[in-house]
Amino acid sequence: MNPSNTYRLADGVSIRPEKFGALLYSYHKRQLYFLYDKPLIDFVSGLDGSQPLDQALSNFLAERKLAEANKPVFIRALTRLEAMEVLSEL
Amino acid sequence: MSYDLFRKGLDAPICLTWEMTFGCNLRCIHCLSSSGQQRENELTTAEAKALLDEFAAMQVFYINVGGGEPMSRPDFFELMEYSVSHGIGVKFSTNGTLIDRAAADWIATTPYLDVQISIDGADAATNDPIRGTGSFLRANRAMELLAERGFNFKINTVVTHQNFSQLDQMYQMAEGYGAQLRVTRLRPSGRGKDVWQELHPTQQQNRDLYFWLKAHPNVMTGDSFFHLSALGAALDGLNMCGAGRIVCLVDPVGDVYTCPFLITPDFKAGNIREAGGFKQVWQEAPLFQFVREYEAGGQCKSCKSWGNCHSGCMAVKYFTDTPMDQPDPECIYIPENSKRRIINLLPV
Repeated sequence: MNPSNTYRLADGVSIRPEKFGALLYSYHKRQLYFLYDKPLIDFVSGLDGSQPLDQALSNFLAERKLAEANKPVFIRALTRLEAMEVLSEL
Repeated sequence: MSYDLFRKGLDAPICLTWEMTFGCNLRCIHCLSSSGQQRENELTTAEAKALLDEFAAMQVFYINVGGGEPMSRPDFFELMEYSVSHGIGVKFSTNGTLIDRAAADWIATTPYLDVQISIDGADAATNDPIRGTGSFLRANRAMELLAERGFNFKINTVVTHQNFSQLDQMYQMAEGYGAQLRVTRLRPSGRGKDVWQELHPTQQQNRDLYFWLKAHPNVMTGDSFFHLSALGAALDGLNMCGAGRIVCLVDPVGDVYTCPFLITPDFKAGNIREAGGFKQVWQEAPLFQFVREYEAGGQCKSCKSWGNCHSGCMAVKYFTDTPMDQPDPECIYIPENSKRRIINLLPV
């Protein structure tokens, strides 16, 4: 994953909030995934492909008044989601 | 993990079974919904579309479409296309008899559509006494049409005492078609209640099935054998009863039940034609609130396998008059030093 590129939720992937976090479903793979981290869910749900990932993440952290130091944790989680083909590069 | 997440229910089902019609051109002796004749008050096309709109709004990921024979509804193709175009994946079960060339073309080219064709034996001699004369041949014709189009369908087989020894043959048959075998548990529901004693696998077969499934991880089960997980390491799947928690059933007249195996007034939660529709039934029906709080108790809770099977299937208990706090009638795990005898459920 290259944070200077633009990403969004892949086609054929649906995300649905639940009490414990969110459920993700991949229609292509017929596979269900669980997400527990609410800020990560909010960030992923809001990814619209309008700006590079790094920029989108900085804006998100600033809005939430979260430190930039949180970035590597987000990037690691987002990298996993990309490997699962939940996120796709534009 | 998933048990803790799901036990108290989700805001919407992950998937649900929608039986579109009671009409069917076969009369399988184990039919869960006792199908045959279409009923007059089945959902209209407009009502069915409104129901799909509700599912879409609730983000139900996919629906398991059955019946009856769903393809016998004149609006079948229209409704399936409506579903996938509204973001709801479709997995439909059919006896295959109505799949002609045109239907096979449609199946092979429609996105987010999975098909399972039911046969209950590796040959007509085993299948036809259950599903009707000629049904094996007709199902195989449908499979050939799909295989010719390179479509990866599923063959669904209800495991019985009689076909258990043919599992390897069924597996090879699926491989031959480029298809995938899916095996499901016989439930004593609908007409299945009348034949369960005769058809259900013996305890030894159930034990052997557990190891067979472990050795064939690409055979799908729809998680329907989670009660066998009591024997050792859990089988693939959520290994829990999802009734009213993550799944439910909507029947052809809009009645909502906790699951497809519990079509009985005791487990009816409401009807989608009532004010509030499906969403209100799912989120507020007292029956669903009850099952989300319910946990099997009794001797199972002190069993070390409880975490793997949670006492098994409510439907099998219900229709065999087994108290809910007793082990699943097909429990295959006998703890050492147990006073419980192996219940003799073999055909006599």
